[in-house]
Amino acid sequence: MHGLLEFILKYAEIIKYSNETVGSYGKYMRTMSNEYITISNTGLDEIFEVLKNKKILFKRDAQDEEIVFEAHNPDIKFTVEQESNGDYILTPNIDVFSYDILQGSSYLYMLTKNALYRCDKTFEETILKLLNVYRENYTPQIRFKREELPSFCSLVYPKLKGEISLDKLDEGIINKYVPQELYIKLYLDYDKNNYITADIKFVYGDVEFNPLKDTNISVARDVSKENEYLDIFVNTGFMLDKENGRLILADEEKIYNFLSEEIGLYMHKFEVLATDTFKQREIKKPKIGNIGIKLENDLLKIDLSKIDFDIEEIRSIMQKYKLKKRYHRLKDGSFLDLEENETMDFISSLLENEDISYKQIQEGEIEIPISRGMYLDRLIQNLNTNVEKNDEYKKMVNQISKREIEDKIELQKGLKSELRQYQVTGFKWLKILDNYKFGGVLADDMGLGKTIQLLAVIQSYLEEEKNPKPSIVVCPSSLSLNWKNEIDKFAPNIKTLVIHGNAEERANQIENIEKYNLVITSYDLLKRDIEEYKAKDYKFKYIIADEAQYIKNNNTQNAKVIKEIKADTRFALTGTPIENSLSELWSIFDFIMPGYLYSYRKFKEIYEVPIVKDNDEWVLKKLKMLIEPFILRRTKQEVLTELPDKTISVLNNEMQDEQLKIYTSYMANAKREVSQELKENGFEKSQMKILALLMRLRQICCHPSLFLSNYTGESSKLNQCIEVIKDAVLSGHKILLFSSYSSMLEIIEEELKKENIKHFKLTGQTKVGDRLKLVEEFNSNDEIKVFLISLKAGGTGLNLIGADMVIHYDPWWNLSAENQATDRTYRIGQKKNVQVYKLITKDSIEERIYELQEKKAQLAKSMLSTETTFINKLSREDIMSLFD
Amino acid sequence: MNRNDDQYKVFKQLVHTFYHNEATKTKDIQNKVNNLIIEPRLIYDTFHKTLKAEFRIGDSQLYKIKSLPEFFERMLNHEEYKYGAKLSFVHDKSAFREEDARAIRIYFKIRRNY
Repeated sequence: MHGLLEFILKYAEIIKYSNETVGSYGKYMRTMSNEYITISNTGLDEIFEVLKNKKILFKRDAQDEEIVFEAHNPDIKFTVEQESNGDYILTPNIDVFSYDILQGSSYLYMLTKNALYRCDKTFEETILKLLNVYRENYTPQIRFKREELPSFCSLVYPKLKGEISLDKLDEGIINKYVPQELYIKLYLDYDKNNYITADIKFVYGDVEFNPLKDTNISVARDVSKENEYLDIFVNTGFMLDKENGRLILADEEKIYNFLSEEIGLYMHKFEVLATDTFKQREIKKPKIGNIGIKLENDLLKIDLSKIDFDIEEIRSIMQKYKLKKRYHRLKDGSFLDLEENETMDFISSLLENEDISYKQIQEGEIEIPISRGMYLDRLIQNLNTNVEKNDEYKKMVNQISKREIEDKIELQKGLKSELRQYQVTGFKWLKILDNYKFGGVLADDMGLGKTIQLLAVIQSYLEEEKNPKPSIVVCPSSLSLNWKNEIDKFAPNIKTLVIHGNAEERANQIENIEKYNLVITSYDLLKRDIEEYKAKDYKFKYIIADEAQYIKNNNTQNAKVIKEIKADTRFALTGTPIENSLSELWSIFDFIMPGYLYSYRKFKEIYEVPIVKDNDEWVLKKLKMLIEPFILRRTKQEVLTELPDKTISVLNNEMQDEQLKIYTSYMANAKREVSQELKENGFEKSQMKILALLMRLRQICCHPSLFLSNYTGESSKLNQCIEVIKDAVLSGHKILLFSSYSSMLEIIEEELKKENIKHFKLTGQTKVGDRLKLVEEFNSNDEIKVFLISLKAGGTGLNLIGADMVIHYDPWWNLSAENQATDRTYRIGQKKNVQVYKLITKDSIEERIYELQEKKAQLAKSMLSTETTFINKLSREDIMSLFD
Repeated sequence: MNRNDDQYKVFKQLVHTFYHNEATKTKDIQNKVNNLIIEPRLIYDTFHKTLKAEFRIGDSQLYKIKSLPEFFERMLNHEEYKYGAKLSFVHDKSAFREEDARAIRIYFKIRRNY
């Protein structure tokens, strides 16, 4: 019952909702009756399906009869008989008025006296159609004259073969008038105009004839089938060539369609024969037999003489290809399939955007700039062709892209440090690029030592070259001192000049650049001094753009100015991935290898718009192939095994303007007070006072507003700190920042808010319960980038595993206490390396304390936790030296 | 006294809703009806060429479903309803007999309006 029940429930629901929506008119205006279901077309199919093959009790008037629901066509047949007068009659085996037709959705139903039949579409199109002819004319039989028998046999009979019985007819008549099965033979050729010609032959049994030419055909023909086939030809585009009694296909596009798509159908339905000429002109796909690539004298030559198709036609072929045409018809009439094909892609990629004349191509050899050599290598990889490369070329490719350095490059002796393995790789890579006069982007993660790799390169140059030219580093102002520090530490042989001071001082320094090996300046200063540089027309050996994101916007002065400096080789350093923004990418490449990514307008047209607007993946792929050889990026994850657990770096900043003024005057005061105090009370008793003074000076270094409420100036340390944080966040790092002053943390918080950097803060005021919550969230939520922690909050085993960078804003007095505090608050899983930065203001008390710490290693190691004790251990000379 | 009753009336309803319902359910499970048949009647109007279906349900005695929408709702909400003296049941699909292969009684009436 369940099928039927489902049926009832489905339609009952429809009735219910249909009536309900009528609204408040209620039962007076129901759209459907509540008592019965009107069987719709789909309903009929459904209920038939449920009830099929069952005997149904049928009530008509008073009598009970039975009807069976039959799920198939009724057995209806027609017979042709000849009457005595020569006429023929066609009669069905049922009374044409004794049935009803009900319409389902997928089927038709015939209701006869005993059954309800479910009929399919063919039934409708053949038998039912025929029966309708009887019904419409109210006749039980169809009569036709003897002369019309042929027409009947050839026009009507073939369609209803299964249903019309000719048994009552003479066999001779049958053979004469009833057509046999129709076959078609097709002869294909090309004429002198390169049109396709088709000769058709209809075949009935033994008889073959050309329907377009031959007229006296006496065999019985299946006319409708013939028309059906002729339609196929017409649809393909064949036209009648009356003169020659054949079909012609002239339209080129239609010919291509026929050859590429339709011919399969033809071969399936007909017997297709073709001349040799025809067979030869099948559709070809372009192929290149052999390519040769030579790197000679800084020129890259490509031998294309062995391309499979006529190189003379290449211009028109390429034109069509660019227009995304499906094919190109060669001069001999055959077709070249231009659809997505690696050979075409290769040639197209090779030729596009280069100013290669077709004449060069026709001569078989083209020249491209050596910097495209790497791109060429990538293109070849997709090609299914034999490529012969000369040794020079192979070497270049191996060295640059596979980083298999063959040239002998030795580490210099002047370098006061062991480079880590990945740094050696980076150094060699830079040297190779330099050899080929390419530029490069060193995009290692923060903290991996990009600076030292560059210093190695410079050092190597100095050792090789008798008369070395100076090189120049351009970096953000906050990092210029950093460079100096690294040089002092690792490569003290490099004579360095740091551009600083007022305009006059700087102009003077710039005059004397030739005396130095390396000039360090900032983007800011470069902007202001550019005229001086241009006036001297220096040509540097290397120009290095540190933190290259500063030149990512081509329209800024930073970018414009740096590109005006002349240098042999250009490198860009950045810790942030640059492939994400295409215009930034272009600007940086415009610096390291001008012209490599074309003009910005061309670049936008060829790459940026298709990639950004159309999401064209193929173009993106090509761009990546272009730039990959010239970018080297290692992440901390990759080189982890080479890194110690913790790397500690010192970042120096230099006080300016107001801050410097305040510091200087305080320092002067402090000196006086200290010497006074010592005189009056002696050393031991003065300690508290000295400590207080030191604290003051420290605060000024951090930020004068820590105790000067009306201070409106800046703090160089704060500026640097924020810059470092911004860069780190961009590179995806999470940072812990420690300070002993919670008010300093507040100031930093303000800045972070301005930069929209999400952060947490933990101070002594934070409740214990909240602490754990904050830590948990910091560890799990990727969006919280910075955790500000007051050292006074003290660690209670807080597990800040989410961070991989630590900044000590105001380094603690006591080194081990500092380490302890930080170690206590974060425990790093073996998987992470942690970068620790200490921000120390140059030429200040901080620097001196730091130096003292280094000197008094033992003191530092002791487990003393307070400033006072540390101070206690310092001798009088040490203390006085602080105030010098 | 009245006011006190009012206060507790809602609670009584709460108990009734949850407790008493359970009781009725168990009763139903014991007296479960499961062998109702459905008898369709198909009526074909040859003049209008329309086909419609009416239904009778029951066991020993068949009752016509007078309102299909209401029948639907009862099935949806599993309501208990009495159609007549010999038919009262909880409207659930399991109340009806499984289809069987034997002839089922369907009345197929053809109306010819001459």
